[in-house]
Amino acid sequence: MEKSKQILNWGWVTAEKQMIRKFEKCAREGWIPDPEAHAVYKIRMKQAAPQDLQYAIDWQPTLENDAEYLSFFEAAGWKLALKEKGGFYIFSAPEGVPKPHTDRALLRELRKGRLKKFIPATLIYLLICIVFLVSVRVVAMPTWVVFLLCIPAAYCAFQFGILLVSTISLLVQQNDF
Amino acid sequence: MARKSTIESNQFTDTIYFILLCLNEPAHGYALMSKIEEMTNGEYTIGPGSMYTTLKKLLEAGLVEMCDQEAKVYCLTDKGRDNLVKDYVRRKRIIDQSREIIEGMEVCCDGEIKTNFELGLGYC
Repeated sequence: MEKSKQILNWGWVTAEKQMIRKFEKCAREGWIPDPEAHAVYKIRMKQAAPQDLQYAIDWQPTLENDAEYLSFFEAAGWKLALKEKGGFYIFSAPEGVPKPHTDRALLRELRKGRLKKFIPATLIYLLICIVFLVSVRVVAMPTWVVFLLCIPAAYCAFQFGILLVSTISLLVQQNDF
Repeated sequence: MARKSTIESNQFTDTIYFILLCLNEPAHGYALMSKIEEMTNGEYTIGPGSMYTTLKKLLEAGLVEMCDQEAKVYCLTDKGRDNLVKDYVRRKRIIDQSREIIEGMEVCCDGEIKTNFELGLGYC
């Protein structure tokens, strides 16, 4: 039976660099991501020959047919390693192959586009959390109602946390240049 | 006011400039990457992510079109050709305006003071 192990998915927006470093370390130790396995917060790695690989992430949320897109990467020496929900494509290539994004101005524009989507969503979740906290304090309601409201509120707080970290991470990357 | 994108502003990045330049003849997107590399003697490389995203943006802006949908061959539109020429003129003007200063700059080379022009714009 093929050997496998699971690693924690820290998020492609929240921890892009860390995930890439983790994948590259795994490749050196003889583990590559299994494209067939899908899990929300974990990635299944399968055993392979130890190799020096570089990884790169690209985000294409609106792509319906990715055949042409993938052909560009293949022609440049990049192989699809993993495709994740939300339009995240993770590619691998031997060391020395030029990075998929060579145009910094374009990369900055893309990140700006992502930020435009993330900032309103972060604020909406924050608003929901504030409304919940205020209503629990101001409006007298039975304990069971409070408990019931806690479920969506906890979900919103979780989403807010993830989006906040993602937004901060994108802002930091934006100022890297 | 929101800043215009590089395509709208008509001050192309080198990536856009080289893509439009090489689309003087219809080509596949992935073939463009090697064409640009060959044309610039390997000095300029465009990664697949940048190439794909830029081509899509140029399509949206009407500067390039897909002349063969099935074979995914791209070519330059009239608008694309006009804008390419405009950007060429802009780049040429910058070079013309800076030539006198750059060529007249003095550098110390093997104990001798020479101008960049005398050095043939090469390194000492």
